[in-house]
Amino acid sequence: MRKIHCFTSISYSYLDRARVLAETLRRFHPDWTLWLLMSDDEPEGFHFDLASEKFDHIVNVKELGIDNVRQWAFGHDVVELCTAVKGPMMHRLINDDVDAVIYIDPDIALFAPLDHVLDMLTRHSVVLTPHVIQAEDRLDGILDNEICSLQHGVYNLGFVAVRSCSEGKKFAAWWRDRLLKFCIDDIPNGLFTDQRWCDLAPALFADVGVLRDPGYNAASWNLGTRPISLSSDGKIRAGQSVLRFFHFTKVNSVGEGMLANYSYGHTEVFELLRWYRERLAANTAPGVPKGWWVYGTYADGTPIPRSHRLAFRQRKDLQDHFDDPFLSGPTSYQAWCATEGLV
Amino acid sequence: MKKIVSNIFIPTPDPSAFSDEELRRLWKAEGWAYQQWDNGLRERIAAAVSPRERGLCWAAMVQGERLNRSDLIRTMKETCATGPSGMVLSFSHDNYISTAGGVQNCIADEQKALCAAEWTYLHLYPAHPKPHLADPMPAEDVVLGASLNGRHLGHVYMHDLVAMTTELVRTGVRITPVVHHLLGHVPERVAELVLATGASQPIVWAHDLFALCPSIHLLRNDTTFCGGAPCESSVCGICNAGSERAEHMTRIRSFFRATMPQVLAPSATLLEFWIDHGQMPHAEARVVPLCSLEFTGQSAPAWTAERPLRVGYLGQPTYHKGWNAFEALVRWHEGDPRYAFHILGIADPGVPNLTYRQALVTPNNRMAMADAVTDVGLDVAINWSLCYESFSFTAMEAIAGGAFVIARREAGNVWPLISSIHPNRGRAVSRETELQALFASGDILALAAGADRRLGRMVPGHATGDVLMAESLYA
Repeated sequence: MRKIHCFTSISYSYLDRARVLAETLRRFHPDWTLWLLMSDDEPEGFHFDLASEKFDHIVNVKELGIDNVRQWAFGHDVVELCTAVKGPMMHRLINDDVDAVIYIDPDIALFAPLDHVLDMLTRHSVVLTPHVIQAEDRLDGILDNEICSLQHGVYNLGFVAVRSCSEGKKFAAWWRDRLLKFCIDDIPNGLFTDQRWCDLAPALFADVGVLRDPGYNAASWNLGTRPISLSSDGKIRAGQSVLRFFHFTKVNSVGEGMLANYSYGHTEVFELLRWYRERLAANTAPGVPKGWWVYGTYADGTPIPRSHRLAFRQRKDLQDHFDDPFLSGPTSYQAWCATEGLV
Repeated sequence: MKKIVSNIFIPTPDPSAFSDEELRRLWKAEGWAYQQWDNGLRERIAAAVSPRERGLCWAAMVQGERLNRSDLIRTMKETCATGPSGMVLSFSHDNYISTAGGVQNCIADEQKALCAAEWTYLHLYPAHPKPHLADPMPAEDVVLGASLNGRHLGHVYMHDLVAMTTELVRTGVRITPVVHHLLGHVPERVAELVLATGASQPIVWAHDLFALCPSIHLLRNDTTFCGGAPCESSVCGICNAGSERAEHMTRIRSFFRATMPQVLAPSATLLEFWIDHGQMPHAEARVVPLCSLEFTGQSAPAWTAERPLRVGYLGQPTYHKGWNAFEALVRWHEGDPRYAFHILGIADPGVPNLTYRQALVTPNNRMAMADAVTDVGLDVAINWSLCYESFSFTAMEAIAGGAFVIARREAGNVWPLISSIHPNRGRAVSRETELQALFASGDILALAAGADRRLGRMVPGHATGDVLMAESLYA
């Protein structure tokens, strides 16, 4: 398997994370083609220079051929949008001249080559990594990790690999279609962005492989059953396996507390975190304002409340009436929301 | 506030209403083991920065006037004329005359012994100290502090030293380079100076593991001994020193390849590790202990159950020397009539349940710590160093003072040194929980009661002096 294309999906606020991912991908898989999928525009005064990045290509959400893309973007918050575009991008790449396409979240870093993935891709159309691979035996573990997996999806879609075969292409087309319409955070109604959809994947498609090696997709939600260790042979391990990649989810907010909860007093995982923060600092993007996202505000700079997005997403009449919901002014969607008391 | 323990709700106080000390006492009354509220280890890991970043705030230490080339050559020629045995050109990381420490004392012993045997001893140290190798630079930019036969000389430039060395060699002076440490030096320039001496076999000391990594004790992220993980491995990659290690080792290896020295190490433990993990080119290697112990024939009074066991920590209360493990014991056993805790050193950490006794080891009073151990009547010393100790003066001081020593088994030469003296001289344990169990169970009392408590005198060696003077005898 020679032509591997790998992409991640971000807004410019996550450029530091994407750069760390690319750094580690280049270290272990220098022959892969790396794509950066950007659901954002450059902030004023910042210029993204692909030539000085570790990515080979950048694709903007506006280049994915999505109908009424500004209206579509308005109907999503930043997490939903950066997730929803994964489907169209996967579909586009898998139909190019490639052997396989791998998506990896920007807040992931590799610590060893993804050999098992490449091996599985020779036999499977799709490779998924579950959030948990070992039953919890503590109540808090059941609540935090098993029930949480039932709510958010069995598989963590921070990683998915698809082989360029008929079944892999079918999966990509299906995933694209579902994400274009239903990539939303609505757990009470059985949806959580792209993840709950993939609960169906092993049932809907042939040869879907589940990668249960603890070295893949180690994260706060499975740390309790695969503790990180660092040995004098130079290997980092998750449980008994060599750590392949770690998912640094929300490590600068609630994630660190979860790491503390499930490291049970051991500190090796915080050594990973120290390194990760050091790399983030080295890869920071000066000129990108904190929290920047071009689709995060109306034209006058006012942040767009989630309620405005939900109303626009759900009501066809509003979509028909307001061609560009981001505009400000007396006849704008923003003004309509204010008149209607939508806060 | 309530805390769930085994599905039973135990009422606990509102933490905001109490100081940390009060809270610890209250929780202890509930049967909780001692623990820090915050995780000190996590904080230490988070604060770990690369050696280069750490060195940014290190100030230059140039002392005295610059000696120009002609004055330097004239001074050295005059001095060498009075020291017919030869000249030692010595390098280390700081000024041993004004800084106290194990390596510094070793250099002082070496210098005094060699001067007494009519050698000339020129010592050089970086004028701008760094916790890593200095960047490559031309010899005319390299500034070094210098002392001659134990007296400050001023500062000198490397290209003047090369010229001086060439001139001395031309006039027949036999110069032996002795490199105690390369920290803060430009190894490429040091190698050139060493080669200018024409010495067939320069001497390089392995006082620690600096040849392997800028983190001289191989403390990964300033917390845990890494065991010499391979350079550029994943573990090395996440260490605060990892990003600088490959270039560091390349430069050090080039230095060894160019000079092909005789390597001296203070212990077999350190030397074996250094050879196995460093793979540095060298001509030969040998162990030269920095100090030996002579027993006086007397013993410290044995511990009896009529008084508390006196338990002590020797030296600076720093994390990497095991202070945190000792402090946890001190706090947990507050009010425990079985134990009395002491710290001997130059800093009082101000911890409850701990008695401080000043003890300052100087070149002129090398027994200060051992004498303090005897004076206080320490029954047990805890040496919980987290480093891979190359020799361990503190372990030797504790033994000389008559104490039984509890050691961390993986702390380099600490346990080999203790166990080589007598089986009942100490106890090695691997984990902090085992250490805690010794005290919680009271097993330490039985060990102390049956301990070998002989008193001794520490006899400093002459480091390279012993080697050079022995070689002179056979020359």
